[in-house]
Amino acid sequence: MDTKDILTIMLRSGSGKAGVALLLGIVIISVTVVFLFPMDFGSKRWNNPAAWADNPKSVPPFWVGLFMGNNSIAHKVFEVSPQETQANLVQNYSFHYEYNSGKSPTFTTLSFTDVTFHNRPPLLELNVVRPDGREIVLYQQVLRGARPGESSPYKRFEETPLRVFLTSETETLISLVSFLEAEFDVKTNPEALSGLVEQVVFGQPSHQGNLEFVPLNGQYDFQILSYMNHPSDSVGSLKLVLGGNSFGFMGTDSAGRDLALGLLFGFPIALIIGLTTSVFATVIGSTLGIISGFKGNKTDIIIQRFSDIWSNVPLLPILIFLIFILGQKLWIVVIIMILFGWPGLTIVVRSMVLQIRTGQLVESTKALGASNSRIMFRHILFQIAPFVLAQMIFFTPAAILAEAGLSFLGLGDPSIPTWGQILESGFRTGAVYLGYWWWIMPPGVLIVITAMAFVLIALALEPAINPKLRVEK
Amino acid sequence: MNILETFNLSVEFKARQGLLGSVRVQALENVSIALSRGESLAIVGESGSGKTTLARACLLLIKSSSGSILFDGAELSGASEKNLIDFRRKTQAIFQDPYSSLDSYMTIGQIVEEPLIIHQIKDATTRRLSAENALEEVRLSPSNDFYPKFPHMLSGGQRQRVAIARALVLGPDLIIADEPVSMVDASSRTEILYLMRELQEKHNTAFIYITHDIATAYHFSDRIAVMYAGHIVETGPTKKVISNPLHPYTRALVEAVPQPDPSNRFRKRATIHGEPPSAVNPPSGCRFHPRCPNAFEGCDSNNPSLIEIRNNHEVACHLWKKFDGESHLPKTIAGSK
Ligand SMILES: Nc1ncnc2c1ncn2[C@@H]1O[C@H](COP(=O)(O)OP(=O)(O)O)[C@@H](O)[C@H]1O
Ligand code: SF4
Ligand SMILES: [Mg+2]
Repeated sequence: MDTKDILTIMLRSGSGKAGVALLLGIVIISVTVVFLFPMDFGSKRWNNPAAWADNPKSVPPFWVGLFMGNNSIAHKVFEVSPQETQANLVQNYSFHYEYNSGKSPTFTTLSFTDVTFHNRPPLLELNVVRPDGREIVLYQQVLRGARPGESSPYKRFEETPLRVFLTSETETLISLVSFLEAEFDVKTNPEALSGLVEQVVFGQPSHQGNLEFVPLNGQYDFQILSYMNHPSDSVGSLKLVLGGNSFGFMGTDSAGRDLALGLLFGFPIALIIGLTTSVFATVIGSTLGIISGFKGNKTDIIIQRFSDIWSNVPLLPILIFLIFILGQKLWIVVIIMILFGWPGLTIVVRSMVLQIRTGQLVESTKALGASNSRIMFRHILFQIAPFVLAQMIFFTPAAILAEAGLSFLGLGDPSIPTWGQILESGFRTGAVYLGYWWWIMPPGVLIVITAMAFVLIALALEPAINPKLRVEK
Repeated sequence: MNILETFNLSVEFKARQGLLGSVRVQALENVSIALSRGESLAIVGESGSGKTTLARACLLLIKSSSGSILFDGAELSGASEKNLIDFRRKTQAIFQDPYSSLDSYMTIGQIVEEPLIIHQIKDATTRRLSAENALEEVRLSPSNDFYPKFPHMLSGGQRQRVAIARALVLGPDLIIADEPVSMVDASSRTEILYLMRELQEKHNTAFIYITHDIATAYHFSDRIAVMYAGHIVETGPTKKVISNPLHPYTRALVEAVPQPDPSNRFRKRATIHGEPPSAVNPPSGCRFHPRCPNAFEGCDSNNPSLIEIRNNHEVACHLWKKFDGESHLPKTIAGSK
């Protein structure tokens, strides 16, 4: 029986087909993610609150919005990229927003990046013309001028944008107070309007003079103006965000993180954890097993006693203990799993080698004058390779599940998002009680599916290479 | 000088019995053989008589418990593997089972080249040439076709030829073949035996041919040694031993061979009655006495040793020496003397 036969036998069974199909999908996604995602996605993006500031928090996926009818409000982002040449001293950008929903946007933010000016700072303004023809100036701001010791040209907001959260911006509230008084004869004050910014902008009072608003559907024309004082002053980019109550393919968590991205990044990480652990544990386990079985005598006794003891050390408490001491690093978790993962295989491989050792293959090779290492790693290893490979596949999900378990206990590596960590943060922030199923279920399901892919393949391999069912001649 | 010589070679195994107990198995006792260059020696005996053990001991694959093994005059028993490199190059083995003695994960080319790699023939072209040459010699031809094949694509006979090619490739002085055709289909047995004989004569290689089939020994060896229960009971030139067996056991072996001559059809054939001896608990005295048709008093207490009866023809049987001052030779044997 060679590797080809084993493949055929495996693919003949339903579980083998399903496992291979699942694994193929997982691998394709992982490879794509590795190419498309930056390597420092974890620290630079996932765990950087600023990267997610413009997203709605704890909202379900967009496709859930499709079922919410009039109660759904889509997330809307308007963005203008930098422009090199400035013809005018007044720059004017406008966005059209078609609003038709029973809910008003959940929040409004405006961001500027890369502002350059030469003598006096520019004035920035955001206004909106509503479907009823009324105009509101939502924001007006002169940037800070030159600081002592600074020389022209002055640059602002190069790294971090100026982000204005209009929903609670005092200036906006003041502007809305005067808008309401002038247009609807409603007398109020900024404090009373806090939290109502979007309702005011995108609606009208239900009764004259009261603070209840009904949505006003139709086209809203937003306009951003920057008044410059020098021909080479410039604003890099502008972004207006109208928060929705659903987001992306998989929704967001309580920090506004796009769960789809975190889940995608989890694919290659799960594979890397699983495969690295299983490959190294298998290499150590089979090497020691071969040496133990082939050398016999004292070497055998020492290796066997050591594996017996080692395999009885409970892994989880050790992992928790060592992570507390060494820190929450993914590679430490992987190394510990490798160090404690090999003994079972050593014991099985040894028993297989004992059988092979007495066979004519070993004897005939020895008679040729082959060295022990040649016999062990050129001949015996190949005889047990199919079995070892199956063990490797079997061990992979165990490593993935162990990492998920650790992450779930809050011992994951914070710089690398994994499915276990997404699950854990969901539990920690009470996603279960709040009914944020999109936060809890997908990572759990993905862990199970990935583990299952490997288990299915291993099950399909079983009849082909189980040492009990098949003894290598 | 003899290429291989053993003197009073004994091998003892420890076999497990029960949970904790172990028993000693005397697989070989005081075996002395000698083989000159280019000579072919057959070792014959029924299963369990210690033939494989003798082969493995001569190949230094197992430790002998006492006695000595001389290769080209140099004492080898007890030598470390490091000091055996030269011996391993000059002595090759062919094993019984062509299915398990070849690595199923190697191509025929890799298998035949392996001895060359092990013995530091570094040049790949040289290796390929020698290996192809060896394959052609065993008539696996054209060797190019066989080179990339795996053993499972070959028949049992072809595999055994691969094993022979592997044994030949280093140009050894001695080849030890342990029942080389017993697991090959009957149709290709003779062919392989003739091939081995031919190659042995062509290269003037000393050859130990182990078999349970005394008929093939007749055709393929110069000298024969008959084993019973770890002892050599009779040895001498093959033709003489088979045409005139001196030991009752050899006689039974020879007579058990079916004769092609029709006039012999109704001849009463001697069969060996009784069980083969237990290696754990062998019979006392002459190991053959419980089954021997000629046993007489004393056979069960004294173990006979080899004595030379005629030129180079030795036998270990009390019939052939004066015992109690009286001759116990049966008439047929005595008459033939
Ligand atoms: N490794 C071993 N351990 C214990 N007993 C053995 C071992 N090898 C052979 N024997 C015993 O030694 C005796 C001779 O065996 P063997 O040399 O294989 O005989 P043959 O090759 O003539 O059939 C047998 O009784 C066998 O059971
Ligand atoms: S010694 Fe006695 S028992 Fe042994 S073979 Fe000769 S006659 Fe038979
Ligand atoms: Mg044998």
